[in-house]
Parts: sequence; structure tokens; C-alpha cells
Amino acid sequence: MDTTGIRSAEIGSAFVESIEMGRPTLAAAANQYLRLAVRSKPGMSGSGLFVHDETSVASTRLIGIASGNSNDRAHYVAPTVLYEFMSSVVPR
Amino acid sequence: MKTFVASITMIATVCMVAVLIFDVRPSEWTRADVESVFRLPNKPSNETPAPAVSDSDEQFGDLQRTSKEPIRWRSPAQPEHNIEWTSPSPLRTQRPSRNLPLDDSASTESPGHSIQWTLERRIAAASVRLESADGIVGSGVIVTVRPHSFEILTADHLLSPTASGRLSGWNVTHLVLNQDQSEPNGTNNSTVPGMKWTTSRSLAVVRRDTAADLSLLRVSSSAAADRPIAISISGLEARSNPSIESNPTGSLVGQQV
Repeated sequence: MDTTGIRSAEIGSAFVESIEMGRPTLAAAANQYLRLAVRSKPGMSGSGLFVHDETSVASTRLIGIASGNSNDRAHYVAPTVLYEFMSSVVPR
Repeated sequence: MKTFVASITMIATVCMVAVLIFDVRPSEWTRADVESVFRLPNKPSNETPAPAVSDSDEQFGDLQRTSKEPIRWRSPAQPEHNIEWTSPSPLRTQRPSRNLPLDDSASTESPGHSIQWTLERRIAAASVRLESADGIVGSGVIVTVRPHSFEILTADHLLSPTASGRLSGWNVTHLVLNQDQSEPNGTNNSTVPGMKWTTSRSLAVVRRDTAADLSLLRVSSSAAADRPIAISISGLEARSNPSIESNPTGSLVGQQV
């Protein structure tokens, strides 16, 4: 999801190359990242990566939050990390 | 491994932009969109992703691999995740409120007129752009909508002055809700009036997790603040030149965007 445009958001398809462990800081614990085959551009931090189940419109889910680039590839915070984060906020 | 690769391939295949078209009434689509789009991700199947790291610790590019840690989905004992992020109440039990953010009842369509919305629009409408006084600084996604507030999930480093030098504190000055998408018939909905919030108290941090690079922000409105298309939070100072080089500690390993 690219919301960096002035007027409108743009949605593009992306290929998830792999799931990797990484960390945003040297001191931070490692987290899972989805590595995409594309590079994100400035302003996309925090944007969403979605997966859509064609069998159900309502099943579209957010599976990643753009964090940064590494090796010229966009890295998105993985869904498990999102789940843990949101679970700590939203009562189950 | 094959299963995992196949799974990833499938995710990539369906990832984003299927053009499923469905009918949603304008007065209802917003809440339904958010609730349907932003669910907790399903816990993956029992498959264990194959390690994607080398045998030795390796600093690759900007993110650091930690190969000694097995790559696996966390909390394997947890039940299947299918919990919506949206609060179960009162949104699911009340009629759509005129004060709901993202309520697009002021759109150009006649009330009650059923129009077709694309999946793209659903996602776009719930995505936000975080904009500083100096320009675009980040993005976010609305994960919770309440009658007078909504919450945005975004990257934590956007809020951390020690991360990218991009922002300092609560330097979000504009949240642009992307409701000006073109209609399926080609017309543009940009005439929907915007709403500006001018108090910094409207923005609060629900939770930050620097290690996970995630932050949850809550944007509140007054009772009269319906349809906040554009939100301005004043009194905040943005820092310019977001670059990795500005990191004073040198500890940031990601080239954050």
C-alpha cells in the first residue's frame, strides 16, 4: 500500500520472497520480517501489506507493516509480530 | 520446505489487489471495511517456515540477521487467530454513527444508493498518510474505529528521534485519509469535505514497541468531528531530512523508510 501520493493511495502487488529474522536496532530482539521483491520508498514506513483471500472479501487481512529496506528489498513486520503487538492492546 | 515455498507463493499471488467488487451502502461501508480488512492475521498453518538465514550471523545490508534463532511462528500453542482488531463494542452493536470517522455519508452519492466499491478502495480508505510540515514522512493503517476516535498502526521509528531522525516526538502534523479515490465510474470523490483537528491532545500513543518497530496511535475527535478526511494536529514540530545518516547512535541497522 503506497500512501505517499498527494491525493490518492496506490495499491500494487508484491511478491514475498522470504521470511527473515531481523532487528531494527542492534540492541533489539530479533523479529520476523517479510522480505518483498521490491524496494519501498521513503514515506511508506508504516504502510500496510495485505493478503487477500479470493474466497471471501471479508477475509482480507493485514499481514505486514513496512519497516525498512535491506539489500534493496522492502521488509515488513511479519504478521506474527503484528498479532503479538495488537494482542497486547486489544483484549482477546 | 516445498510446502512453505508454496504457501509463500500463494500469499504473494493473492497479495493485494484482487478486484473483487461488491455492493456496500455508503453509510455502512466504512466501518464494515475497517472491520473486515483489519483482522488479526490468521496464524499460519502448522508449517514451519524454513530458515532463510545462513549458518552464521550476518550483517546484511541494513537489517541484521540473527541466524541462531530459529525461524518459526511465535506462540505455536495459541489457538487459531481470527480476532478482529476492532473493538467488539460499541461499533458492532450500534447503528453506524454519523460521527464515525470515515463515515462517508457526505460523499457525492445519494444516501442509500448502493454503489460498487472495490477492494482497493476499502484498503485505500483505511490507509493513512502521516505528513509532517516538511512533507511526507510515513504511512499507517487504521486498525480500530470507534465513534469518536480511531487508531492507526504504524512504524515506531517514525516517532523515534533516535531512529531515523525523521520525527521528534509527536510530529505528525497531517493524517490524510485516502478517501479521494476515484469512483468506479471514473468520477472523483475529492469533493468530500475534509475535517481538521487542531489540538495535539487529539493524538495519543496507545502503545509503542521499538523492537518490533510498531506503534499504535489513537486519534480522537470531538463529537462534531465527523468525516475527518484530513486531520491537522498543530503544535508539533517536524524534523527534516529523514535519513539513516542522521542517526546519532549508529545503532540503527535498518534503512527505514
